[in-house]
Amino acid sequence: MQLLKLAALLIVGITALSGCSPTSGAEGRARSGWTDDGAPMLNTKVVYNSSTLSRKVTIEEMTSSKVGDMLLAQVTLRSKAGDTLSFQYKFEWFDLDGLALNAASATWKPLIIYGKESKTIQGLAPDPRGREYKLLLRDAD
Amino acid sequence: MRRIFYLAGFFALLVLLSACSAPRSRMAMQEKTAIDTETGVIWMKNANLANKPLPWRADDNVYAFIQNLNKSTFGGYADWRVPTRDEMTSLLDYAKKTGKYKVEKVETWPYQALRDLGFEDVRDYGYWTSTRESSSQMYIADFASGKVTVKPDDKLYYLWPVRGGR
Repeated sequence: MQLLKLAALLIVGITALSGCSPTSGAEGRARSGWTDDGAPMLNTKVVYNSSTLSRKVTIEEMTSSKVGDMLLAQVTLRSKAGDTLSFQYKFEWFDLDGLALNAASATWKPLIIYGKESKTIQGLAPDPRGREYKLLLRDAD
Repeated sequence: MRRIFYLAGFFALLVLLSACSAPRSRMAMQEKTAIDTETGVIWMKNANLANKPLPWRADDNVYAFIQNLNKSTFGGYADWRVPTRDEMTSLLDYAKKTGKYKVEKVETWPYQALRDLGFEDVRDYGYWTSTRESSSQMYIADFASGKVTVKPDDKLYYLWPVRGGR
């Protein structure tokens, strides 16, 4: 009986700890696709800076299209939380060889999603080499 | 006797004139390619190098095939691409003209006319162009009917890479 209590306590403790971890860097792999000219969009990912955020925000859809020579990424986020979520996002772009194109210049943008609602955000590649992107999400300051 | 001589001379002149006025082929056939002397587009001699129809948005697609062609510098070049709608239309118009196209005669259809010119494995089916109509539709060149029409981009079509031109 005492052993059972100890095991239950251990499970509760581990769950609580993993939930509170501030920078667990959870990653959600989204559907890979192809651009309008047939180029593959490889390893498109959403990177959350906290597991709390990753639990509360889900990716509904990721699409991309060409605007002139540039790739435009469009991501629809949905809040699973009942209350308003305030956080930040940025798109990081890479070429087909995985070289970062805007790692230094990509800026964080604020985003607010009301409870259980969804919002669509867009990111334009910095130049025509941009074929792969990462969406980074972090808690608001 | 003199009359026969004149007649023979007249016929010889006719033959000579008809040979000079015969339209020269627009296509200059090379070992692996054919140069369209009118547009400057260089077509692959083999119109089905992939040996199968390819998808546009899927693994092992048109994009990947062209990438591989250019990586391997096929024919000594690394700038192979998918022909545009206008380039395909021009080729089909030429094929219909040289083959004296008649819809009821299969032997005059563009794919057959191009085979007769020396192109290899031209299929009586749709070929990709690089021209997009919408986010889900592209212009496809049909080498049986000789028409370039809009079709969904989720089907498989043949690929006939080109370089140069434009």
